[in-house]
Amino acid sequence: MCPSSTDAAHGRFAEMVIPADSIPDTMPARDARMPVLIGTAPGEAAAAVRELVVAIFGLGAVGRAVAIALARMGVERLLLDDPSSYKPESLLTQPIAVDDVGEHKAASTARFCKQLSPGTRVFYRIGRLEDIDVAGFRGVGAMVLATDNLRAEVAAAQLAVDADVPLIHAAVHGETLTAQVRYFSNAGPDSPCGVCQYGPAEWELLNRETRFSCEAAADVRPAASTSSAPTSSFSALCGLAADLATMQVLRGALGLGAPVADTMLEYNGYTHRTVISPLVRDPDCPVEHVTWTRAAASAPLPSCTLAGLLLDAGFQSSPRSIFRVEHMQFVATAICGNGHSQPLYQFVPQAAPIGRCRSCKLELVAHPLHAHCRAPEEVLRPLLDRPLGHLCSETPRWVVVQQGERAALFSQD
Amino acid sequence: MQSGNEANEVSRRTLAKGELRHPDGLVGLGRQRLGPRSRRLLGAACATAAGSSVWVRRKSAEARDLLALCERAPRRLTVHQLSLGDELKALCELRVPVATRDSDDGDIEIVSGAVLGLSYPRAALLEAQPGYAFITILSPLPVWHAQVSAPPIQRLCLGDTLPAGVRVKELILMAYAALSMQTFQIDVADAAGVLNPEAARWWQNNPGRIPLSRAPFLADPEHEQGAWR
Repeated sequence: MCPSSTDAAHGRFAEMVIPADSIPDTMPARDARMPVLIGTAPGEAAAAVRELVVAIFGLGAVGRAVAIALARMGVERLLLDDPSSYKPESLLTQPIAVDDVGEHKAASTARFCKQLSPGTRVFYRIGRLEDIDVAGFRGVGAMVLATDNLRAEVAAAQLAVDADVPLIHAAVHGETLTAQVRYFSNAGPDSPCGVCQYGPAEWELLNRETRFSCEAAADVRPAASTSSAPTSSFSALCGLAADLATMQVLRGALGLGAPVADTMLEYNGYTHRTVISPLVRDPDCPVEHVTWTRAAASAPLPSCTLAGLLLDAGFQSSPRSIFRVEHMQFVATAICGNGHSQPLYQFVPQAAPIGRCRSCKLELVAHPLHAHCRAPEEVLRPLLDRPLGHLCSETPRWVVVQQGERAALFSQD
Repeated sequence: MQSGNEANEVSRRTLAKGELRHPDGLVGLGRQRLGPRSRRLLGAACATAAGSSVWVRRKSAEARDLLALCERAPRRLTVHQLSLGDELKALCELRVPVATRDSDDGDIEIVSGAVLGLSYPRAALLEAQPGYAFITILSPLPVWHAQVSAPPIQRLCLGDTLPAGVRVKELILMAYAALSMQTFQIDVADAAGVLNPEAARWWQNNPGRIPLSRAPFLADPEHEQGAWR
């Protein structure tokens, strides 16, 4: 385990570090097998590849193969995320060794990628995609999604739209020998996302896959479990999907051939044919198609006021503004078990204790009607001119200000 | 758990003479004309509705449905506060018999209504939500019900999972059925809904007191006292 593995297990990306003496002296130069692509100058493609930053979600048969392929190319940075571990059955389809069984997929893949490409910075995370911090996505050029459950698909669709990053979704359908790669450009509000393509069957499956435990009732953000069946396929089909996805990453990033934006590429093993079709936007898609444009605050975030951030974002004050401060909630009023209510007016982490009742000393919790994950300006109006540092129980790392279809992301880094 | 159809059948059989129902039932709720008070509430909430246009449209429609439900059952349901700031939030008063119990060895007391806090987040459109995600009971305190968690936050559980895009009007109807115990879950071994195992065991030992009312949602509460248990 590397020193930062604790971070990875707690939902934060940790950098994979391997001992210098474990890197063989015979490691080849990164460009030793880099082709001179038609239509590009010598070195041009290699330089573009070396600047690639790719996040990969799901590190099974498809995602791990994509990560390995990108590491072999010597990309700049990889962010690898998967909450699960390799099982004995993983040996049947996934590009792992026997020793990898029982290992966290994210840690195992990160280590292998780092060994293959010591010059690549490899970060990994063992957690749910839904809890990813979008502010940490600075510089990411593409996201690859290779999970087998719809909840992760929905979360990835929203994350990619928020972060303004192309999402390449690779999947297989073993029974029909189909490998499918969808490229969502997220190039603007009219671009489609994965959820735009959902029909009644997908919604029904999503509902069926999602289960909650009543023990989690006390949690503000209860974790759902997903009960999707394991993917049954041949490793060759998974490998093909991974290779097609990697090619789409390259084609998109390097602008090779016909545009890949908002297309679906499907290969079928029975017909032995490849079909490319356009992806279309559903105007009623429930994913919020609002890109968080990165904006610069005029001061460090704790010193900024919400009114100042509105100005920095180029927005007028409006009752339709909403403010999101990291994963904190704004609690206007807290209550205790005896029903006493008490004003709070603070952004607090969602699961953190709030304090005790002044009257009866019982523990206080956020009043459900007076707590907001995205706080409206109406609620915050008396506090707009106070520094964020005074309004938050913890130092805020990022804030999103949204008005309608426009949003600005202010990040501490 | 008793199914919705079974509960409706019980309600139909026990509808007492003189009870008033809206002639249209719940048909055409979207065409229900809103009275001046409802229009004011909706107008004020819509004026500060925030978020993307799809979310604003959806929560405005949900809010309208909620107010239309009040118009159809004016003595059953009242919306006191409505906000569409980000989540749809409403403070509602529901006339329904609700069991409370102050001491461990005391009998239950039945009160004639509950104040509900309704929160409908945007995430409800995107994925299934736990049954306790939407409704909390602000009063009475404490409610003695297997599907209601102990204070300070009395969450009402309407099942283990509610589907993505569940409608607000359905949540209210489910809340009425659950609180009046026309539908109920008292099997502590079944994870689908029990938030208070002690209350679940108490109700298992007192099945004759279930349901608390047989009156359907649209019956006039003024005329349903005879249907209480």
